[in-house]
Amino acid sequence: MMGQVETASAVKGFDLDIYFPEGLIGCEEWQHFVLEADPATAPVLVMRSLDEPAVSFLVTDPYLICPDYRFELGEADAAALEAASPDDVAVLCILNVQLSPSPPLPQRGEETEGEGVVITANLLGPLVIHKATGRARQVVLANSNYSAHHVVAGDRGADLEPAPLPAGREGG
Amino acid sequence: MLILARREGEAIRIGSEIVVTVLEVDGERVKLGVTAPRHISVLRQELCEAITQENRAAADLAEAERAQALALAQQALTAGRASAP
Repeated sequence: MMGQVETASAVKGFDLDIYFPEGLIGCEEWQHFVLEADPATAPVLVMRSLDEPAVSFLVTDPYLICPDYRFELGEADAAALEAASPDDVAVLCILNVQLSPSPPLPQRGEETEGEGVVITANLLGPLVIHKATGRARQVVLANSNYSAHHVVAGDRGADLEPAPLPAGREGG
Repeated sequence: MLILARREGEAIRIGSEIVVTVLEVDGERVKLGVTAPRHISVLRQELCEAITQENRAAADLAEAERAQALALAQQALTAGRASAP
């Protein structure tokens, strides 16, 4: 097991070609990307596909969303990344911006276009990138409680999430 | 799809390096043990499907909407850092 990955500085100084040998999960054909770190859009970066020009992702530093975000990088993942130490890698997460999600109930009257925006982050499947080589992998934090659909902004998205369970059950 | 019937304690071998053993059968639940080389990741399918779905949804932004989405994401993240009510 590698130590815990902590790379809060991932967003800084990044502008490189990255290569996912196995593609993204469920999208194996998307392997080559360029990560564009434009200071004007910080802390959001654009990860643009070189395989399919229409495909690009908005990504960011997951620590900005969840300050105690951390995980153990499994051996299979570390081996695939050819990473010897947690210091070799940076972590990013994909943002999903829904500009006009369908409301749970039909609403009459006023249009509230601007308020329909929901932004979520995929904290369950972060992107781990070898900082020196650009070799990358989308890992699955199988034993964590992180969500693939962590709400960053947008009340409606929060409403759609299942209600959290009470912290403690009777009798423990 | 290859279909094999197995009992508790029995196993199947996939290639020369992967062995899946049926450890326990209890009603609707089956406990499986997987032995595989370290470079092979073993994951529950529904986790992969959740991430696949998020990946597809996140990539599904029209060119015209991308700049707006980027601005909104930037705003949400910087607002969150500036003040935590």
